[in-house]
Amino acid sequence: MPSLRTVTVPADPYYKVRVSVEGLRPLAAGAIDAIISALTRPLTQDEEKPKPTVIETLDRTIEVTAESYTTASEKFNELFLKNQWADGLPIIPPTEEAVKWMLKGTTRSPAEIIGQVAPKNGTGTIEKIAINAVMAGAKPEYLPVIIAAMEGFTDKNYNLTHVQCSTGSFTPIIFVNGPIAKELNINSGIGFLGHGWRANSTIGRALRLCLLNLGHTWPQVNDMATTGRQSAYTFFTFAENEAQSPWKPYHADLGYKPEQSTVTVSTGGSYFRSVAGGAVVTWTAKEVLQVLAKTLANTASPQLMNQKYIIAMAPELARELAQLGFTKDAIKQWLHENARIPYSDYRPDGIKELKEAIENGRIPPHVLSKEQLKEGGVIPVVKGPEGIHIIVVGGIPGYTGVWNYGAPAHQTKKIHGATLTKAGR
Amino acid sequence: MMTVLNPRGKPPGIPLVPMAPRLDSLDEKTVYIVDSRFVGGYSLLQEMVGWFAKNMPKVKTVFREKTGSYFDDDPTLWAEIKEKGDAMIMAIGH
Repeated sequence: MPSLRTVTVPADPYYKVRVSVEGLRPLAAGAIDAIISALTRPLTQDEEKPKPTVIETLDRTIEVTAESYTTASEKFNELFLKNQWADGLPIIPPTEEAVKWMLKGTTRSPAEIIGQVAPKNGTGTIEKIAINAVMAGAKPEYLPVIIAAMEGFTDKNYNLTHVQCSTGSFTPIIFVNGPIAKELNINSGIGFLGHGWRANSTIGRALRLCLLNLGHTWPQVNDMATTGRQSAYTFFTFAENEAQSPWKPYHADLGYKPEQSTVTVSTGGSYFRSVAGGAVVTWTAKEVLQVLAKTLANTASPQLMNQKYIIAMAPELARELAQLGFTKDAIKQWLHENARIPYSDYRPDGIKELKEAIENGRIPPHVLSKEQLKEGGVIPVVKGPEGIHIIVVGGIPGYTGVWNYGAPAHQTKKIHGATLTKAGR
Repeated sequence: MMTVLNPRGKPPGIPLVPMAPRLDSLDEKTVYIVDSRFVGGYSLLQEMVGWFAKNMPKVKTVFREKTGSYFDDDPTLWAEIKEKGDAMIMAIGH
């Protein structure tokens, strides 16, 4: 790209030696000549007057010719995978007829633009979302959920570039609230993260394909998830188990009416930590709370407490906590007060960042003061209870699990425009 | 023949900003050295500050750490560099 001069430091050995000044010294010295050259070497003509970039030309249709449907289907799948337009599993051909069928699920115009999808900001229209939904094997009645989820991903407050490109291997979490979940048979009980429910699988897969095709990402090119993502094909897609929850549903806490339907798109770190509960080992609700607090502390990343936690709470645990008098807010407050990291466990650069954040007001004094940053001190894992989200999901018996992620990437959007369900209209 | 619709979203054209003119030399110039706050960048850049002090003392280096984390913007710093700096080195991208 002619508008930026960069100098590379070899990743090997940089990533290994960056822990020591002695290791970094020769790398720093080795880069200086190239840096000085970049700052002083006269500009080329291209650099002085860069030509406009060539906009990728996209034909509206793609043709595949073969002697039979079977052969054409195979050629189509090979073509799409070769072009990095598919996820590696067989896809359904998005013919004009199939996309028209998919669009019957919404009142919204195919030309409506939902947003630009990071990292390469491809334009996400309703039609493009429908095309990817067909490829995923979704049904038209799922489309309003998929569209609302894409509204969440393209919201300016959702850090999609980081989620799509980071080495951290983050997996989107998508959960649905409201009556549409039951109408669409989105699993919220035993096996909620597993296979067997078309809605869970294809809503998640449609979003996976949307992010790939509208965001223009590909592993090892600009999707640098080093291990790949857990649940890479369908993300974590489920509904809250509102029927077995002792509390108001998640979206009602945000001000939505329980009869409205919403989808929340969030993000989880590279693993889902199953905490406690289940049918094998005996447990009490208070014991599980203690384990939860330790899990939050053990999985914290030093991101100035920007992280959030998603607790997928088993209904049995939720009910026992409710019987002990806990509301969701009370649980969040308790976890905020008890999930703490000892000062001695923090690295010096992490302490330095915390001090700066306190000085410039990014961490308010009631959350953490400089006086707490000393031996024997403990540091909260989130700025406040609002950094902890509780969703009741799973069956009885069930495990409670935790995801966490260190940046803003959490949006709830109302589902609307539905034509084939009573909910979400 | 099978005809399917294109699943790709069209990205907008990228307007390229021309690069600033180059310096004849770094001597007597103010070079900002900026840590983007990705892990390891601070130490690497401190070594560069040290290298310039030892080997090219006529170059005035100003070390700054960008505010927030490595994906936060810092318009205050960019304005300072625009006003007071002749050049900038930032690390580390990844």
